[in-house]
Amino acid sequence: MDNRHKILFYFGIILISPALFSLLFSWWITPTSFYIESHEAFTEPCFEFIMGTDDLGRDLFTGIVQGLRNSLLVGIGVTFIAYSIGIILGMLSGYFRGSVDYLLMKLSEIFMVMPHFLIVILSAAFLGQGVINLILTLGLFSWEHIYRIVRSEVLSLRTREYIVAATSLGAGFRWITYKHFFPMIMPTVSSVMPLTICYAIMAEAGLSFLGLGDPDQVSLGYLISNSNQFLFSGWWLFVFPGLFLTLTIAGFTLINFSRDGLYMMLSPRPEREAKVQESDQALLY
Amino acid sequence: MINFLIARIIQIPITLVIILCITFFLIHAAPGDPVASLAGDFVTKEYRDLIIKHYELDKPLTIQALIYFKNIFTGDFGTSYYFKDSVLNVIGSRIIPTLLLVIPSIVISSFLGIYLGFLSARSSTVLSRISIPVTSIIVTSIPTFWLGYLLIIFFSIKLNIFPIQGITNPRHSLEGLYYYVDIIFHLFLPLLTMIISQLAQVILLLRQKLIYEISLPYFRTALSKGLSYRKAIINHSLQNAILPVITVAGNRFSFLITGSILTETVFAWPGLGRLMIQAIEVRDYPLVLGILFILSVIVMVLNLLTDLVYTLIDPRITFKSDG
Repeated sequence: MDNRHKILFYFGIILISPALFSLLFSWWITPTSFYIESHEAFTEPCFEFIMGTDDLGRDLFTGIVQGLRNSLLVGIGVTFIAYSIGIILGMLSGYFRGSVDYLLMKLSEIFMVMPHFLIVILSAAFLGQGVINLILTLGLFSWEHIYRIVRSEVLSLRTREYIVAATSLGAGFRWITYKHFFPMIMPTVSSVMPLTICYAIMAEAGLSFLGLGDPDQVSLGYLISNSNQFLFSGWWLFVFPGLFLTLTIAGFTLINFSRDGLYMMLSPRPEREAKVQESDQALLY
Repeated sequence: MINFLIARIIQIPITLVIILCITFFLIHAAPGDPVASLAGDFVTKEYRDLIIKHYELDKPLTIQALIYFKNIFTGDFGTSYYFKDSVLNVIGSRIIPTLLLVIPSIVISSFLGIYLGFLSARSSTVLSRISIPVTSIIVTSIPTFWLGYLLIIFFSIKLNIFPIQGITNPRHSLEGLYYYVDIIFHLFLPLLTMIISQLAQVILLLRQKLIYEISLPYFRTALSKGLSYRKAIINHSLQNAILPVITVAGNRFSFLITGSILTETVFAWPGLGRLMIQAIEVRDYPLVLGILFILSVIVMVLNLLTDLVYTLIDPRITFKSDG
């Protein structure tokens, strides 16, 4: 991992730190709900209200902290579902091959060309606008990239000698996937994790902007769509939610961009050392 | 190659049927009733029954789905509940504005991005290798709708050059050339929004790939046989470096539809995306399905075209139909 990637990686961490901080400490910084507490409307940012208040006198700082927390929760939830589906299907497909592989591959191709956001909009509009619904649909429609990575990794792993040895000693599907495949594919797979989180955060913000988000949960997209009537009178209502949303998305994209960084952190030690040597040679060249 | 093409073309209708099936049952299983929006709140029971019978809403869902698919096969997408017109007509009147946004934004952002990426690849100092990725990633990360408002604040409110919303000026009815000039004038900001949200990504990709290509021995050979830097890149490296840009362009199409829905909402642009949101609000089932069908077809055909362009540029690639 060269220095440049290290710098980009840590810069990404700095950019997502407000979101991480909100996720961990929102119960402590902002104990009351955004929707309940009310103060004087349109207060400019001051000592008491760091980011001002909106048209109904709600504290914008509370809204942003809780909005960031909710975005990140959606991101994590979607990632969890997409990874569960992707990893399980990918392993099935790479291990059994044959017709299972063929069918799953075709299925993933079909999922890849679907216009995801349209289907998410439809399901939010027709199945109800809950966070749980949103996470489920986004997760169901973003597993195919992970599936492809897992499948190709498993296909190359299964020809390795120690896997052949394990099979000849009588190890079955469960043992091999759990003991051998899973630890080996995790670093590669999780290096695209920031991108999945990013995609989920963007989709959630877009949906709330269109008015199809969860009405009970604060969302940065909702805050932005709420602010567009006050472009003249309340610049802070418009600037802060968008700024924090942009920074969070940019942070995750940066971490993804320096994906070597994440790979290094997560891969087993011998692999890591081999990779470091490789990149050293690349630098010399 | 031919086999691959045939396999891909067969895949399109299968995918369409699956998408339509999912959405058909999704929107019919959902709460919310088209009859209420068709007939209004205060109606007699007879009128209600008449409407239900007229739109065949009393039949079981599977029968309704079969009827719908049979009609689509003959090119009949049904009648919009809300606009009281055939779905194809409604979509036809709205598809041009969306294409006006989507196609120029792909073309301009690709060519401009390739040019700027080419320029930026010249400097690969430590500073530029950190600052260019960071800037372009931050620009790409700005949500489309927020970017739209930023541009409105700058160009429409501060500088007062471009109109905020709409596709034509409602106060004057312009004709002939002025009409088209007016449309272009209104198109500027939405188009700029869509271009900016794609441009930085193209620049970054091309720059990275070009810097890698420049480091390869063949490039040194090209320089040492007397080619200028510019010529060496255009003749030798650009072909290789453009490939990932095209791949990403292919992946971008579905994001492009997302972007156009959000941009159309911000700028009140009368395109398909806004029509879709409108249709969802009034539970206009045939219109929702029709728009979904058309947008899916657009995305899939564009994807197929990308793959074809890919093989034209890079003859090394051969497709196997089994994936």
